[in-house]
Parts: sequence; structure tokens; C-alpha cells
Amino acid sequence: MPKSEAAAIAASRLTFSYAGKPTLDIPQLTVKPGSHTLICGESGCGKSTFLNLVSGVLTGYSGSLRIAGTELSSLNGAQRDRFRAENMAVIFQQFNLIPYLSVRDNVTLGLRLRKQKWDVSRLNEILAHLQIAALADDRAVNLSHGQQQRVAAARAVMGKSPLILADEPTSALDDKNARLFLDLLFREAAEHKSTVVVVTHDLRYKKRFDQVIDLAKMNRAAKGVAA
Amino acid sequence: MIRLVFASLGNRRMVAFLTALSVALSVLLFASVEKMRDGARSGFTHTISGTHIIAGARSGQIPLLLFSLFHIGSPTSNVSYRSYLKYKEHPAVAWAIPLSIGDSHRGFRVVGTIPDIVKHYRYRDGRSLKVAQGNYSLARYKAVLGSTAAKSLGYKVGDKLVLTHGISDVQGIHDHDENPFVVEAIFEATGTPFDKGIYVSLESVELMHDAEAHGADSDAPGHEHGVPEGGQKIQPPKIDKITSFMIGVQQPVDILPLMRMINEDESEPLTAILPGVTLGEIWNMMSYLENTLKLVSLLVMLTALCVLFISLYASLAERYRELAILRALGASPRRVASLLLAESLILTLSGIAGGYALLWLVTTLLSNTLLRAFSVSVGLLPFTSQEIIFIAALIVLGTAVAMVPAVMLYRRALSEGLQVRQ
Repeated sequence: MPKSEAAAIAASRLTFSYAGKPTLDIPQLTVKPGSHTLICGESGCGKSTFLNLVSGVLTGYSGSLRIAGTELSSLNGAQRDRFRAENMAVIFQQFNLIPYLSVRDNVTLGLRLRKQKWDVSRLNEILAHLQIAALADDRAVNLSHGQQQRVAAARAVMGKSPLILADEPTSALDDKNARLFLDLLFREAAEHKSTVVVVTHDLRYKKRFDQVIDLAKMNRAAKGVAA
Repeated sequence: MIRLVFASLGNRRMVAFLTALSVALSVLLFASVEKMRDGARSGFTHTISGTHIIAGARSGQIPLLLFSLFHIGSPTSNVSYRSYLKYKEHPAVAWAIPLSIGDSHRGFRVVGTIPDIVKHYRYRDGRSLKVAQGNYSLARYKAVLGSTAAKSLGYKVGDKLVLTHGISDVQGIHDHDENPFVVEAIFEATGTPFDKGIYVSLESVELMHDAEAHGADSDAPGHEHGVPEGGQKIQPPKIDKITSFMIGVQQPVDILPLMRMINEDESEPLTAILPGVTLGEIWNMMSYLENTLKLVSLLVMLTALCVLFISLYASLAERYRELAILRALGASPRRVASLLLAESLILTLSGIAGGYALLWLVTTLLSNTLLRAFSVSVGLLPFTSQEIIFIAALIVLGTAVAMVPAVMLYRRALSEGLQVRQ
């Protein structure tokens, strides 16, 4: 199966247990390449678990989980890291910034680690769009929660990845900044034909997505919680 | 990428500094024990250099060396001055210096010799004697003091001193009161037993013995030469006996034949020794001392390695989440490992460099004191083989410790590393 035609994400009979308790059981889930998917559901329904499995941060599922045609469980640790770096950009719930690096260095860190070049004007434009250009030389540790989230967002967008995963990317943002972020996200996604998957319980912006998946309903392991 | 390492180190500069400092202190401790051990040994075995043979009346090799160089003990019998002259004229001999050791002044031995001793006496890799104060002539009734003797006795150039028979801290019974010597010069410190001597000419020694002999029992026969008395012309005294003599040869190849010749001299029973070899023998007799220092070195080394491990491990373990982030952003295992390695090596190497910088400071500040107080010469160089092993072990351990968090990172799930622990 040529990868270009493969689904961006294809899960089938995907189950995952944490500490002996089944937390995820998804019979079928498909995300088309280039589409914008919103995964919602109440807290504890397995949204973040699903996202962590997709990004390969969490391993040890059973069933099938293919990203752009590649079965994640077929990769070893280092291969998975490489695969993630080449195919995805992740906005983590905890942002995962390096506290002592500047905003600019944090945003370009992934590119530098992969020895890729970047366009300074593009970097400045992204920072300006997210209204953090003035903070470019500040260390991440000195930023507010909302500012840190925008740095994490800028880092994810900067890499022009085919798949952008975001875990509650607007949790610390006010309405204006949330809109600015989504504008940027969709503009960049359209420009680079990226697939976007956002996990959130914030349904204010659901109309801007092609597909909305309520994981609380889909995840059979979470039925008890959802009900 | 090295920027990232420095940024990370800069972020934890206090911990990084303390880690490097602990390495530095370990290196300082180990290296100073090593330098001390090495300094004590070389200080001892380089008590004298350039002198090929020491000869004296037939005796053990070690007693001959001990009284000739260390002024410890007394010769069992003397050598005739004639024998000294005979070997001095020998074609293979470049120079010969007589020593007449016996008298003492307030616990410091008086050494009768000839002025030429400053030309030929060498210590520690060929350094020669230097006069610190006064004018050196070693003329009649002039005394030149070693630095320790001068300092302990509190004598200055121009002071008078009275020489006694035998060794005693109190003034001897046979004080040579008649013959006050004048301190004409003081030698610079050599850090060898030479500093404890009071040097006079052989003539002066004979003169003072004659004076004593005439004063104590004036009708004793056989003392035909003059006593220095007001107005009377002083006859050159006849030198009869000395305790030993030092020889420098023309060609090193002459050393062993000459030594055999002296040992087999039929006119007078003599013993000749190679001072370096005998010094080595004495040092080996005291090897328990060196072994103790070696043991201390070893313990210091083990402690230092533990300290390095603990501090590096602690400083790297706190980076765990940071490393997980780098990994999540696509850093390869090799990249993460090289970051850790670079960090660890920066800490270890700067610690080693810092340790030697401290050692340099300490030795520069204290080397004169150490030399004077303990006759131990301490310098930064050369490195002992133990030190090289130690530094290699530090670097290897620094590398190995750096790999621990890297391995941990890849053995655990990435999600664990990314979790924020409160």
C-alpha cells in the first residue's frame, strides 16, 4: 500500500491497558490525510492515552495502529523516535519546553536536533502571529502558562510536519489567543497539507474541524466512565 | 549542539560547579599525595648528584653514606690524608673533596673540607651550591653555615661561634674556647642534609684540635706546628686524617674500575660506594613508608572515583525529563548519549584541570616551605604513572556514568520521562 494513499491514522481493534486496567478499546478509527479532526470526550475517557499512543510516546498496545501506513508496534524505540520526528509534531499537554532555553531556541530545537535548516523570517512570522515575538529571547521558564503554550504551538507548527497532534492546545489561552492559534494552525496545515488532530474538551471551535470524534462514545473501555 | 550542552550546564551552574569542584578537590588530594610521595623519594635519592664515588675507611656502605652525607653517626675509623691525595692525583679522577666530620656545634656537625666543595658538590639533578649571604672563602677560622644550621642557631654573617668535640646539644666539655670561628657566609637552602652542616676548612679543624691538644696536655709530643698566638706567624698545620672523600671521575666508564681499586687498596683498608645506589638501598629499607603513602593514594583514588560517580549521577539524573523532551522532539539515542557524554566530560576535564590549577597554586605558594621544612621538593611535573592511571580512570568513569541516564532513558517508556513529577 503506497503511503500517500494510506490513512494518516488508522486504528483497528486498538486496546491498551494501564496498570492491568483496560483504558482504551477502539474498534475502528480513521483520520484521512490532510483532514482536521477534533477528538473530544470527558476527562478520563482516554483522549490523551490515544494521542500518546499515536505519537509513540506510549507503547504496548494490542491491535493495529498505523500512522501513514506504518504499524507503530513494528518500530523499536529509536526508530519510533525518528519516525515521530519525521512525521509528526506534537503539542504536549505539559508543553515540554526546555526551561533554560530561550523561546526562539525552544521553537527551533526539534529542527536543530534533526539538523534541519529553518527560515528565520518564517520563525519571526510565527512568533509574531502568536503574539510572542517580543518574548523571543526570554527563557521559557520565565513565561506565563499561556505564553508557554503558544511557544509549544509555535514549535509544533514550525516543523511543517505531515501530522500535527495537539493535546488540549487551547487550555491556557483566552478566546483571542485561541483563535489566533487555530488560524495559524489551519493556515499552516493547508499550506503544507498537514493532517491535524486536536484532542480537547473545549468544543468552542468544533465547527472549524472536518471530523469530530467523541472518544467517550467510541472507547468501549470508557463506557462506564462516560455513562 | 554544544550550545545546548553549555546552556544546560549554565542552567545548573551551581550544581555543575560543585560537581567539577568535587572532582578538582579529589584530583588535588590525590595528586598532592602522589607529588609528596614522589618528592620524598626524589628528595632523598637526589640528596647528592654528580659525585660518583664516596670513599672512607673500611666500613659498611650505609654507615659511610650516612655520616658522609647525612651527618648521622660517626666513622669507625679515619682515612689517611695520604690516601685522599693518592686518589685525587689518579688520572681517572676529575676532582676529589675531603670530608672531616666529627666536631659539632650545638648539635650541628662541623664538616672540615676544602673551598672547592662549592665547585663540585651537586644535588638534585646537578644543582650547585649557592652562597646566600657573605663572602665565601673557607679561609682559616672562617665558617660557612648551611641554611638550616644558620636559621636554627640564629647566626648571621659576622657572628662568632665556638666549636666542640663530639656531638652534643649542650656545650661540650672540651670547648675550643680558644678558637672562635667567624661566620663568613651562609649557603642557600638545598633541601638536603647539606643544610645542617657547618663548613670549615680542613686546616681550621686541625688547628682547633692542635690548640685543644696544647691547651689540655701541652707536653704531648707530636704536635710540632704552631698555635695561633698574638703576633706569632701561623704555620700551615699538617693534615693527617680525614673521615671520607667524594670523587668525581673524568669518564663514567672509570667509575667501577676505580671503585674496585679503592676497595682493594692494599696500603689502607678502604670502602668505596656509589652514593646513588646506596641511597636507593636505604630508601628501599624504608619502603614501608612509601607503601603507606601508596595505600593512602589508593584510598584517595577510590574515594575520588566514588565522589565523581555520585556527583555526576546526581546531576545527570535531574536531567531525566529534559532528555525525554529531547527524545520526544526527535533526538536520536546517539545524539542524547553524545550530549550526556559531552556534559560529563566537560565536568570531569574541567575538574581535572581545576585540580591541577589548585595544585599548581599550592605548590607555587608552598614549595619553598616544603623544601625547607621537610626537604621534600614538590612540583607539578612530572606526572607519576599512578597519576596517569588515576586521570584515565576518572575520564573512563566520567564516560561510563554519563551512559547511565542514557540507558535509563531508552529502557523506560518515553511517557514516564515526560510526566511531570511533583
